[in-house]
Amino acid sequence: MSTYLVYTAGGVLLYALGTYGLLARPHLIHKVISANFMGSGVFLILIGLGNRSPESGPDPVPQAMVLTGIVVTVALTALGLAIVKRYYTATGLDNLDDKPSAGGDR
Amino acid sequence: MNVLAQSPGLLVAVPLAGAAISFVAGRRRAPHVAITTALVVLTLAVALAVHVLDGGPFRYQVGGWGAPLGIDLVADGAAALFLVLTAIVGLVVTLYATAYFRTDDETAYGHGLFWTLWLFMWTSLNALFLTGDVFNVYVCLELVGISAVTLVTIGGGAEALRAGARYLFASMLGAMTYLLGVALLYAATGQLDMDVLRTTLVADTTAATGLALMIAALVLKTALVPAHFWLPAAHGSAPSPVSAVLSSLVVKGSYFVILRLMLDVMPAGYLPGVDIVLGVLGSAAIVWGSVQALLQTRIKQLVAYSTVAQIGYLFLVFPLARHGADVLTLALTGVLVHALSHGLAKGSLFLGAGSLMTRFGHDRIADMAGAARSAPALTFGVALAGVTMMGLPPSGGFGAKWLLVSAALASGEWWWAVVLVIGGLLAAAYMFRLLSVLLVDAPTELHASKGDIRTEWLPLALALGAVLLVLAIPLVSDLAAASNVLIHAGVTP
Repeated sequence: MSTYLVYTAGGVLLYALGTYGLLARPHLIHKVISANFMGSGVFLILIGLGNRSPESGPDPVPQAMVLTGIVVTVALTALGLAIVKRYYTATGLDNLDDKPSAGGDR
Repeated sequence: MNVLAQSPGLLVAVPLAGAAISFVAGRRRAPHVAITTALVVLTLAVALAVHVLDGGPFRYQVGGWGAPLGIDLVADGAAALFLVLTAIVGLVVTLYATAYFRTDDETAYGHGLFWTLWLFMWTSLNALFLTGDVFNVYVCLELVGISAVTLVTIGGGAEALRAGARYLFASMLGAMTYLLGVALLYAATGQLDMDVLRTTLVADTTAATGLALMIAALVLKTALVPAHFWLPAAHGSAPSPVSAVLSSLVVKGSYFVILRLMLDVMPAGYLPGVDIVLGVLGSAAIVWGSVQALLQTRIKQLVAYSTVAQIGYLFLVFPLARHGADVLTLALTGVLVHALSHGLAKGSLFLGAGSLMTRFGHDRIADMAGAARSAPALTFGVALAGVTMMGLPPSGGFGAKWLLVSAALASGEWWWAVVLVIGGLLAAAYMFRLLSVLLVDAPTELHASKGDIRTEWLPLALALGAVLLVLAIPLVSDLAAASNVLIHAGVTP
């Protein structure tokens, strides 16, 4: 039970960090990475769920969900990076706020 | 095994096959593949509606696997209505796109991909309307989102890319939040099937938090105020056929899931106050979206903000649903008629706006005077779509407002009726602002060569559909009666 709680707490933390990054960070690459943080957080929770009751063996359903979720997230990330790249080529901007540069290392 | 009973599976398989074939067919043959697919899907959707009217809702076991291993599709009256709406708008948009994305226009960067992406989006929308599993909803929503974002950016301009990026980030936020909700719901219940959840859901903080997160994520995807920030840019800067399907169909997909979660899966009062909050946000959307539409100077932005407003009406069903079976029946039929009439009229407005922009070579409303003289059919189509937006009789929009006002008055909560009336007046204001310019009798220099029978008449065809919908209201209420919401509420025996 405690292992499951560690996974859940870690997952919620990652999800919250990712949400903050996606909403607050102006840099577009940061936003894409933040969305991946959110995804990883949820996947961590789901993986923990699969082992919720060790005596009855692992539950395959959450693992199937994680597998599907990873595929979807990879597709979203690829699309996101492609759009960011074309947006940067077209405008020279790395953010949506019309600032010259959001700064890559903040 | 007759073909009618197979239609849920085919409604997903056929457009998927069409998408794959259109990709390998090349840009000259792709439009023909899309038109053929659209005709087959329309036939299947009508067949499914007939089947549901005859025999009530049914489940379709994908690949023959039943629950709990399989992921079933569920066809009920409400799903059938959305499928038919999607097929009608889809066919018209496909025909319109054959004129809009000229195959001889080699300069258009991503236009060759339109057909494949659009058929993928259609596949995912059909699957979303039919799925009976909350995790499958996540997958379908993401497939819709990925194809929709790509379609927004297909033109490749800086504005479209910016709108696409904003749309994508909103979509990602919604996706991850929805999935977190599903994880919590599964942790509490061990179930993903909506029908099983409906019968087994008990009061539980984790399950309630999960469902609340799922609804919040779906509200973001439906662009209900205040989560509408991504919609006007995305719908306004996409190519016009794409705007039409995004505004008239895609927002309805996530709305339909909210409808099922709120009124079917969850017992009444499971998330206390959420139905009121949704009603209040819906009212705010009607006023805020209309006022913003009134302030826009560019035609597609006006139409996009009108969508923000019209989405609001769909959420008035939730507070009204608390007032017993009769009010629920009126309100549900009302929002379904509204979803249909808005779908048809908004499709017409975006296609019409696209044609006007092509003819004038710009999108400034103020400089569109005299459109009625040079493009009468087109302007008539836009005006007719405006009539149903305002809810004037006789039109589908009038029928929807009539049903919703009746529901509000029958519930005793008359203030929802006030919102409906204000919304109608504001819609009249922003539509007249557009029409007063278009109908001015002034000489214009339109690009006559850019006119085409499809771009002139198809907006009118959709607008006529929205008006004639008023005659089909008995049919819509029969399908509403065959929806799982009313059957499980005990209204339909």
